[in-house]
Amino acid sequence: MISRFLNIIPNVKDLLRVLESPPRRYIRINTIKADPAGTVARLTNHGFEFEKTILPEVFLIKKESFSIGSTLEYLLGHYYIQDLSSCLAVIELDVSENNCVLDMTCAPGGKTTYIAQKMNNKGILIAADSSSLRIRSTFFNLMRCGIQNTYIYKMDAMKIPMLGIKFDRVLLDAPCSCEGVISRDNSVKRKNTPIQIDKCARRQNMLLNSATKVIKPGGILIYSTCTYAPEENEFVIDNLLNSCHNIEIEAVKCGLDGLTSFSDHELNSSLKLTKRLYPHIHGTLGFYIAKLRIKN
Amino acid sequence: MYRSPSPQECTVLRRAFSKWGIFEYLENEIFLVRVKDGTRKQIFLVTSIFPTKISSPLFAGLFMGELGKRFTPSLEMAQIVANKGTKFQFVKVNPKGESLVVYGRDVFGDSIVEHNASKENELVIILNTRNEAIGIGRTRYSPNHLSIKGTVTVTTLADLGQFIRDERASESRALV
Repeated sequence: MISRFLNIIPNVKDLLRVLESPPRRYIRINTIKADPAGTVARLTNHGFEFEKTILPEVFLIKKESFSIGSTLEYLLGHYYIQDLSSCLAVIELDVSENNCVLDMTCAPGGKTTYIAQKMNNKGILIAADSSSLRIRSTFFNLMRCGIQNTYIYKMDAMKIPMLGIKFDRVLLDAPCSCEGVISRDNSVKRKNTPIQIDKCARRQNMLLNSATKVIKPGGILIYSTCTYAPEENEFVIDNLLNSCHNIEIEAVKCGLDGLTSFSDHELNSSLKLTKRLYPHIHGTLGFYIAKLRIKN
Repeated sequence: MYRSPSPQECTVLRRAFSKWGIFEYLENEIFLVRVKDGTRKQIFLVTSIFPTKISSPLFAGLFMGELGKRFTPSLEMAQIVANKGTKFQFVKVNPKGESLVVYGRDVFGDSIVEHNASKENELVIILNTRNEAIGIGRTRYSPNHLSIKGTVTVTTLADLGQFIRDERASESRALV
């Protein structure tokens, strides 16, 4: 894994050092129910300390006097514990109140609730996931956050075209090998094998193809993963660009440029508009975001 | 399968919303009914009608409560009532009472700092001192005796901590 990282990630030594320490944690204020300043003030009274981030409703936890998931404010749905990188993916989706939006793999509902928040709890948001247990968590989180614009479907994301609906915005936060969350889950170091990565990549290609079938012309599709593996990131987008000529990449605002070559493979040059986020550079989990627009 | 409420169901809902002081707030909102286990009618608040006939969703919008002969509000509706309600029955508890309620415990008379319950066996929203809905309860005594010290005077029927407890329970069931 480390040898692979050396080819992909800048300053790998710094990354390895950061991975040995606990990951930075963020909260995102749920503006449907609370205002950022008021919530931060209440939590500060409990002994927590925060630092502002590039997003006005997202705060970095500097001091956690006890578990931030066990406050009354959390139960009231005033905030959601969510990494900054996940929030950035939702920001790139650029939703508005009257949109019809699809979250293809929604559980446990972090990005779903943020999308609903960005839609001011209006419009229509369809959230799908194939796991009953994880959908239950999604439902709890949606109720806690007071979300009313969302329909949750238990279905494999690949079957979404069967709904027969076209969406203005689609978010595909694809299941992946999770290399970006090693600092949270150390077992990823041992679990990941090239076979595992290939298996994920095959599924991601299929999911992305399904996503392109349900998006309206002019619509935006965000593809994201929490892994560093180019096979699951740039390669997947490159495959799509080669097979669908009505799709163009738009620039993602935050992060380092996506790879345009890896090993002996040359990829589409526009892939540099996709972005990679790293724990040791951006203070987030490892993350990849691609923004695709379907041409009119 | 979700459907729109029948005229009779709409009448019961309107009465309930009026009772809880949110009739005007919800006047133009859209509701869907889901019949669960053959008899339980669950009411959901949605922003717009999605063509659900294509394939029925597992959940739609915000769960507002269950409709029988009467309407029983959910905790999500209680929070709307606490924010927007013009008149509704409540008991307000002190911070110690708040902690007990979110752990699913009943309300002791000692914890009640204010209430406007009108009778015994009445459904009330349990508020904390910030006027946030933290639970739904039922009074065990008449209004004059609700603050009796050392006695449980309000039974907690639903509370905020239920989300976490239910989630953990379902996780452990899945692990077994």
